[in-house]
Amino acid sequence: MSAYEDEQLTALSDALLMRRFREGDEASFEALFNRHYDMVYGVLFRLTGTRQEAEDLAQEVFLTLYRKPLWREENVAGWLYRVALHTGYNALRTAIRRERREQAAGRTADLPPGPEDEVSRRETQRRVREALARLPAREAWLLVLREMGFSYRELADMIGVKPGSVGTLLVRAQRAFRAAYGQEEQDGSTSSA
Amino acid sequence: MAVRHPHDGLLLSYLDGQLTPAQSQELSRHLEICRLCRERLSRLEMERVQVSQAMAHTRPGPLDRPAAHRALVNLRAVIGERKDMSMKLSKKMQRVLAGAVALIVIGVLLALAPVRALASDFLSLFRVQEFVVVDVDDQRLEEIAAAISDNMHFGEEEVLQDPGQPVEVSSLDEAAAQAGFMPRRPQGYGDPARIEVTGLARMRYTPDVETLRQVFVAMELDPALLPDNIDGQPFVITIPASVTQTYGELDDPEGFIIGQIPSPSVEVPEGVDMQALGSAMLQLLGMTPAEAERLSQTIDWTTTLVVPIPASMSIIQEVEVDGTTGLYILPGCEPDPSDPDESYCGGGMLLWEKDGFIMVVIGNHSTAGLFRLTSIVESLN
Repeated sequence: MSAYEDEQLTALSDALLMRRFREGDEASFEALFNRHYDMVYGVLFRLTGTRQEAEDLAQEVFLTLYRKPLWREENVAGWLYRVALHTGYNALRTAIRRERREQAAGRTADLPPGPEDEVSRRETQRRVREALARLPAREAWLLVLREMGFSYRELADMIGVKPGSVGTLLVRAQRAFRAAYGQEEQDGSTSSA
Repeated sequence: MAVRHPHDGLLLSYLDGQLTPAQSQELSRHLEICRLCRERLSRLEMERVQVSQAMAHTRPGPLDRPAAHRALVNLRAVIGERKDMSMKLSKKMQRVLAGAVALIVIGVLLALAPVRALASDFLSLFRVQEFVVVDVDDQRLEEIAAAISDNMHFGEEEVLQDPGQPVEVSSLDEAAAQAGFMPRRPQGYGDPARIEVTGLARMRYTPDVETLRQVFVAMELDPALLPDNIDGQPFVITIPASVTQTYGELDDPEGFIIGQIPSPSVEVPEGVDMQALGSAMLQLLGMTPAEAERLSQTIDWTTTLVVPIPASMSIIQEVEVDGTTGLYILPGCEPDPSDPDESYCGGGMLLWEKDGFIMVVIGNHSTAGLFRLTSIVESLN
């Protein structure tokens, strides 16, 4: 694809790119991919915490779109982020359940070795994700999306609520997170002390 | 005069810079004169900062930044591979489904639950009350398919009552008369475009343990995991009449389908150790003996339907719905059986059990999200 064609595609709306892809234009799909990959990956990384898993799941999200393009002039970005949120949250819950099973069986997952700061950073990340996994899905999604800098209007669109209720939902999510994170800090206080 | 204080949500919107300039100015004016709200704002800000600081730890570090170009190259390769594989996978899956019906039936049997003892001295009645999802690796399914040869017979299957084709009826009253229960209907979605009743189905499966054991041996599992006493014993599964209501047209993304069926029941021969049999089936699905044993002990096999889900195919989560715990399933895409070059992606689906009925709401399109489906469920009478 030439730089000119690339620019032309960049200027097109998501809906138009989706329509062209439905008609068989692979370059339009790639333009959509390039436009949204970083954000989809960003959602998934925040929920899963590993590059490999975030990349694998992002690939699945885009494969789903590739194999079944959206029908109407829908909000392609909203759809992508919703699927990424579902996928990432599900992976997070599964990983946390697995960790707990392993802990119960006396097999604790050791963090990869590295500089002390790095180990401490990874431990904090793990505790944050454990706290997110304790929240209802919608509350976890809201916190992730706000952290990524989306506006309340965009949040409302992605999770299917009125923009006016996002503030109230976020207050609830913040409090639930603090309670869960506090619990995590207590659980992990011996390792972080 | 009563003062109207802003609610917490509005204060947080203010802190997050999400109010219009006019709203923001009005709130600032109120804060200037209201110490109480200033204190609330300050507390909220502290909470917000703490949460934001914690959440900042989830950001990708310098080594974890997205690499879209490489990801696109990988995606192109996978798309190419999967196009090649779709036919093969489809055939393999067909073999799993066709050749291993008996295994699947046993798996279902194992998962079903008793509500009351049958009058018979020999049988127990099992009925679905809850669901447990077990992830199954696609590779494992392929290995099971490879372990099954076409001439294997896993026992006798006999249809005791044929449900026939679904019959379209003109009203819910008519559906109730045929199915034996009044279907629940969603409020505010108009009349269903189509109502169908499927009749009661009843089948008997009598396993041949030796043949089943050959599959266990091929999968390098101990054949003795399958107990002798299921050999030649009849398992009878009864699937009651069901009603489906379709709202909207088939290709309408806003459309949805509601299905309702009294819980299926299974009569299991007396003396079958369900926990041991469950553990054997979980091992066949790829769990280690220890994992299978542990899970098998936590499942009440008498009330639980185990739903094996290929790991690559679906997004599953437990959700609170209709006052109980259900499953939200967002399927991946599968090759369309009628056209291998095409793929089919179903809509999101909610599945739950309530008052002796299994209920399902299916969105017509893959964008049918959880919130839309739960709002339909909330409107059910």
